[in-house]
Amino acid sequence: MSDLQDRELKKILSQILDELKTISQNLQSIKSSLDSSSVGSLEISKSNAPISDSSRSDELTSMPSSLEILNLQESRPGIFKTYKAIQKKVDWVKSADIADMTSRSRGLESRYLNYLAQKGFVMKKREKIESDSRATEVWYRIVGANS
Amino acid sequence: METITFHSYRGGVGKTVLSVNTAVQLALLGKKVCLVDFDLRAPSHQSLFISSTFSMSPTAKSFTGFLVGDHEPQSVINSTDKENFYCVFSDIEIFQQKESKVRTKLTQHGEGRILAKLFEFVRYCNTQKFDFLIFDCMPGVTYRSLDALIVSDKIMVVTRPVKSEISGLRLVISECYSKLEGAEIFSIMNQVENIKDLVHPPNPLDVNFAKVNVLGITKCLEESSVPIPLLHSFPRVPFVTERIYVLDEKNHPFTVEIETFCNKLLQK
Repeated sequence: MSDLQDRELKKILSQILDELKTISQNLQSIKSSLDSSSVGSLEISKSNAPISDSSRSDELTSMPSSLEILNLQESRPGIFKTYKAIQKKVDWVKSADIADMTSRSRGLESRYLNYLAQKGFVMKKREKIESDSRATEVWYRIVGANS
Repeated sequence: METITFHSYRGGVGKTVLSVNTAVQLALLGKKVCLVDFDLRAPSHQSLFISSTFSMSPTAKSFTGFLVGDHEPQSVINSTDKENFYCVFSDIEIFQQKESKVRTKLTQHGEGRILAKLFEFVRYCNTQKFDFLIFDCMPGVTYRSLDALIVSDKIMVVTRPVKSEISGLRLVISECYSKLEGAEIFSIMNQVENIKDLVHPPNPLDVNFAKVNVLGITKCLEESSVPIPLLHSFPRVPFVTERIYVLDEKNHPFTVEIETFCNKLLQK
């Protein structure tokens, strides 16, 4: 390989390295903004504390609009039924409860509920079944419930 | 409890007269009914109730106030002198007042908030053991009409057989009704021309137009991607105005039609 080719190759590699550094920085800033954002999955570890009026008001403002719900149904056919079912419950529910309401499988409801939680449309918490066990169960609740 | 919404592609098809008379008739049949005037842009139930033989508690607050968080659900429901019948009015003045606080709040809060409050109202009515919660919503595809459709178990699509309705109905079916998984959708054809008992024979051209329009609506409903069976056809009755006929005139042809319609509704 000639010196000229060697220099060209080094130059290209250096440009690629710079690009990768920029991408890495951008990904870092996206991650930090997502971490600080209130929208997103509302994972709650400890939960049964009542929600104040002001925080409830904030929660309601982040609720999906009817248009978003219909668009969700378009991208994930079947999710509308899950959304409507959980809206009938004020308390925390498990995916099995929703499955009973929709007459569909628990696994399917769990997948839809997780997607709704990921979008910030429902709240999600994970609780240990027994204190000395590692097993957990997952609970979901509508945003802005009166409790 | 069943939540029913009366919806249409366009205004002036008779949603309000049909929903109010249906709600009162269901109450007369012994069902506990709550009727909500959810046409926030042009609420009209108040004037309709005033013109009928009706008396209600004047203390209830506006539903619009509830939607923006000013009132509790129990404070917006009007009890009436008719057993089992309750009604909820929207604020008729908010859209006339440019500086209305409620109007400002409605536009400032996220669209999702109104839907959340609507779900809250449905849950409250469920605890109050209503048999039917009926929404008379605004026509077309708007955030508020979609809100009402989303919270409903049954949707009554009110159509009027006129040419302009056909293409619009197709649009609403593809953009809204087809996505409302789990909701039962029925259609009502209102003001269908009837050539019986006419003093002057109609122009054959008009008779043909009327037939073509009815066929057009029927075909549109049959070709729909979601089933929208025709629940009832209301023949055109001259001089039906904004009144509660089921209370005021027992033997009126419109009253008879509403009674038939309600019986069909109860069987569904």
